Amino acid sequence: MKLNRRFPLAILLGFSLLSLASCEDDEAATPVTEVTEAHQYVIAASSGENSYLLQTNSIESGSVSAQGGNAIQVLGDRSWFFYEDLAAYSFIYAQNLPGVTSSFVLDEEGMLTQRQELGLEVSMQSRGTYKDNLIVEYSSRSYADPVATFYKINAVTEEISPEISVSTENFTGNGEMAYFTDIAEYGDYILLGVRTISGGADAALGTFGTKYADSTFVAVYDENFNLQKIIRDGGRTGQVAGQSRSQGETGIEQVENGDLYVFSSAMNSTSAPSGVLKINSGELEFDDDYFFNISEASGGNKLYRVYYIGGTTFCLQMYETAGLDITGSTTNSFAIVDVAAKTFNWVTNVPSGITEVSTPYVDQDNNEIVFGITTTDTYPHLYIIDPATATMTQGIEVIAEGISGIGKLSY
Amino acid sequence: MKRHILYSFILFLLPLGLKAQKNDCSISGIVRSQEGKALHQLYVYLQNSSYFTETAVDGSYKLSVPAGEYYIICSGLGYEKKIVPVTLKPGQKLEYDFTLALEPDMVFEEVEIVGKSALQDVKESAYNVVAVDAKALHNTTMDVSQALERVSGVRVRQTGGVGSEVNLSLNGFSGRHVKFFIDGVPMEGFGSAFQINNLPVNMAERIEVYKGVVPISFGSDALGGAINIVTNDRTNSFLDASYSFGSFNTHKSYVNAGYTSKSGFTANINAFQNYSDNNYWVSAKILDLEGNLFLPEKQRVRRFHDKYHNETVIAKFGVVNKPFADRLLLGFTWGNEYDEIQHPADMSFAYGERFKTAETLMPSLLYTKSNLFAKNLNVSLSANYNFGGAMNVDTARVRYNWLGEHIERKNRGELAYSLYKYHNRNGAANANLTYTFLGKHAFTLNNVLSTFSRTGHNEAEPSPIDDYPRETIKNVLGVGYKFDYSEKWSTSFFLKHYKNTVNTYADPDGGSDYQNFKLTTENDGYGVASTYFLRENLQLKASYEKTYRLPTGRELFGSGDGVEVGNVSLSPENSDNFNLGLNYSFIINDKHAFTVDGSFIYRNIKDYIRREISQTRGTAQSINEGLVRNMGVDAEVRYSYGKLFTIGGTVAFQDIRNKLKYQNNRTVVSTTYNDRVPNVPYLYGNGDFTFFLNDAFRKGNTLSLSYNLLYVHQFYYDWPSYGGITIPTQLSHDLYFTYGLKQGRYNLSLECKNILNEDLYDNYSLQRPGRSFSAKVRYFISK
Repeated sequence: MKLNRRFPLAILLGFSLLSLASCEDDEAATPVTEVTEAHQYVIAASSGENSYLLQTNSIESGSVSAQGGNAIQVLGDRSWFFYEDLAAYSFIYAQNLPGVTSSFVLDEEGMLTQRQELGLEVSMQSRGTYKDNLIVEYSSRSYADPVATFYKINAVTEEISPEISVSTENFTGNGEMAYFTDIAEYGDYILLGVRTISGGADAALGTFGTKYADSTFVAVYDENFNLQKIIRDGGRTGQVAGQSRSQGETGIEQVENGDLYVFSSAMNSTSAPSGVLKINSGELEFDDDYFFNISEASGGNKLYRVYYIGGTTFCLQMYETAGLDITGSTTNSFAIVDVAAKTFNWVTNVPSGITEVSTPYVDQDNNEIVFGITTTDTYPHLYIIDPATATMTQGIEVIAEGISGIGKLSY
Repeated sequence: MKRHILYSFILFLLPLGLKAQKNDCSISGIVRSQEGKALHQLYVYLQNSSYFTETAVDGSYKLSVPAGEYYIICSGLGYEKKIVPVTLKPGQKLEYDFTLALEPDMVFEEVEIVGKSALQDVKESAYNVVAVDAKALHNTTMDVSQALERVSGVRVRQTGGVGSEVNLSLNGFSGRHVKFFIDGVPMEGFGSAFQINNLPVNMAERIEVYKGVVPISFGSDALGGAINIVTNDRTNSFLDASYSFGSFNTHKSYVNAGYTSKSGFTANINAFQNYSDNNYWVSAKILDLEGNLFLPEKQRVRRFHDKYHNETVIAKFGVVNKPFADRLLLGFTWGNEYDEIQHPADMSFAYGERFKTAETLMPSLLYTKSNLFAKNLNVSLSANYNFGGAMNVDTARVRYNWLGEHIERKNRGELAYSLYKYHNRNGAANANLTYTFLGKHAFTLNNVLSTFSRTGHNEAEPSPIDDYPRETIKNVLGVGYKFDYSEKWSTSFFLKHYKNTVNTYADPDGGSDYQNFKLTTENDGYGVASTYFLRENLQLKASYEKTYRLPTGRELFGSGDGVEVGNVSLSPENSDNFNLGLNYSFIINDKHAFTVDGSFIYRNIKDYIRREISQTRGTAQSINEGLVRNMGVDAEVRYSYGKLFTIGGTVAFQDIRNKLKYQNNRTVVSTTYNDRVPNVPYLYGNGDFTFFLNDAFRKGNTLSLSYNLLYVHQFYYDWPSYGGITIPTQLSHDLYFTYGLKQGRYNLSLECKNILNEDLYDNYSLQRPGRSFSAKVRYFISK
């Protein structure tokens, strides 16, 4: 047998050549969009594992892809919040996933660029804007540690307030702790949607259980987070809580004339309907004469989340399972309501086979609302609702596994 | 003195005689120790010929040879070689039984000089198995997981320093898909105080890595393979004691002492401890604690809250070589672990007070007997029960940054307030019965029962579910048949019956109306493994198994909080695993020894269990979705020059791709179809070089110098078609220096790991230690 003594060396050499040959360029990819407008639509697409930010001039038609290294990768399962047309904030949902909160703005060329990273330690559960600030919040769900934590983030200067903590113990006096579900600006007040929970104090109820699912609470704070008042209602609807896992987003909505409408999904009650309560401009009380029973108006369905479009018009995202018990229901149907006229119209032309719906972008200039929707038989698309006709139209296609957020930024 | 091993190896490697001879004579018999115990895995061969065999479990051997005059030699690790002259007339069937004495001084060094050893038995089985000779690593400070890093096709990914979390991937499988065993008993229920990242390599005699196809003696739902740590079962008297000290204030010690009296009483104690501050340097982003913003530039900082220590004692006593038992041992394992947590799943934040503890309290039983009731009927039984527990603590009202600075906060928990305690009641039992008949047939019956029960309570988030245990009872019954058609060809068939009972309490609606859910699933798996020697030194292997991984209670019934939703219709994950292997070894001019090992693997994983998060429902649920195909090759090459040096290397390439065309019952092609599965290394290997100086400075002393190289090619964190972050190519170099005195009785070693002080990452952003040094002294004596 003839044997090349260099055989092992040759194999090692071959191995190292192979490794050299397959070295890939790991330069960060930049978006390739050509900016032609003074604003840019920003779409947060998902690979299923991580987020990819795309920008585009228009959303009515065409197609963009998150693949091929053309998007900005943002690690983790993200939720997005757009501060007006200035910045897109990404928050981590799961507390143990890699990544920190960061914001993106458009640079002088109109291209997306990342700003300083924020050291918010906990996963943010509800968010809202207050003057120049974005306010984010995290509520403890343990009776042993009844505290909620807030940060004020100045969206312009990027400055962050020190951590602000408020006690949530026996919050409304009913013995249960508070879990905040929405943050809204109301004059010089900060209003919070309140869900009272046992936090495990009552073993039979568990963490999120409550004995007061048929009551409505809104907490009123001044801008220094001193509690001013708790606005309460009982017997008409339930708690303000349109939650997806631990996150609440909406429910306390001020309209142009200064009136405030409180949308209670009553998602955790099997006896109370969804409904809208009103706080007249400047007041800190519910208007006893106003109630809009959404469950009744919809023909039996509860509301999940609510988005203000303009005037007294709102877009509702609705639970699809009819009845007062919404356990396990999807939230893939939509309605347009006028809270003054108490009209309710289901949105038509909604695609069938919806698997995911993103948080929307409300385009008040164009009087429309845009959702990112994934269905079984298409790649995700943006869908645009015209509130005047309550119809949905398919817009741009996004090649990705899903869409988690949409917004419009200017530069 | 160890020459016989070298000889046996060389003889084994010699090509078959050039001209065919008629082997009409035979020599057969039994090899026993002086105590009368049948000796397994010993070599019997004819001097200056290529005729050799190994003894079977019952000590029997048989050689078919042509007539002639020979010296027949019997030798094996730990025993004195015996040489007997024989003359065989044509057609003669000679019977000769050997009785071997224990070798006074056992030294193993030379075994590795030629890169092969008595592990040959495992390696040459029909399975795609690699056996690591752990003894060759006993002078290093490695733990079991680091020893596994040298196996082709294995990647060990560690999140930090000593005691940090280890994720082992075997041909692309990892996590729940690869199961660990210690002497055939599943380690799943042992608790974190007793796992591969804290077991010192000294505890192992050898480590067997079964890739894809797992023999029935490891009854487990191991989808991707199994790793069995074989501890020493010496029944003589010995002491093995070592201590090492190294960088980052790392102290490790190990003591293993055994005593066996003439009357057969035996006692064995294993005790070890690991301690490290893990305060190595990393580069991290600094959080301004007042301003809550990260400073833009990374800084070089020292880890400050990553202390780890564990202490374990395993005591066993019993009897050996009794009429009713070859071995009957009772044992108890006590283990304790303390682990500080420095950061979350990436290094963005730093923690200063979070920690966890774990405890193992585990009695055990071992019984083996050969020739029970009938000749060639061997039985073994091993069992253990762990009733230890663990605790996760995150209660501090503080916030830290990477400089070690902190501020006070109002709310508890650096990540999330948690004071979680749980208690285990986990048992495992493995019973095995083997009957060999007519020399060629072996029939095996094996049953592994494992029970897992845990109750937990989180002070921070108490739940009515805390009062209810989560239980899994898993039973795997295996039947196997091995047919040795000839010395060249051997085939095994096996069937496995899996039975999994999950018992849990949950409210499917997420409320507190807890109901008992009990679900039993049964599945049958099967496999075949065959090996054929094309030539005496050229072996072909092929194996196939239909494997299963059974769903867990959480996957089936959810977590009971309405967020993690159960799915009772989940099917087990299953895979078709094929292996094709080739092994070739040869020697040139008595000096140059080569071995080449190569294998091709194919895995087709169906009904992959994936956790799906639904934004619209706000829930997560495990679903059977996924089709992953893996085709790969791995190879090992080794060359030794006499007793002077050895050089070798392994390389593995695996093409693991997502073959699920339509996700989520959709009708559009998934964007990740055909993509390489993300965050899994797919091209990696290592190389090693060891130089020996025998009789260095003094006769009987050996000096050795080894170099080890590890290479991992860069890979994407997310699906490659999306691009984005990669885990960069890793290259690390380690040096080991050992001086053994008096045939290995005293050993002094020095190590330098990561000599070029490179930034190493096994996982995204989780930096591994830089350059480190350690010194180890070891004393080993055996009678």
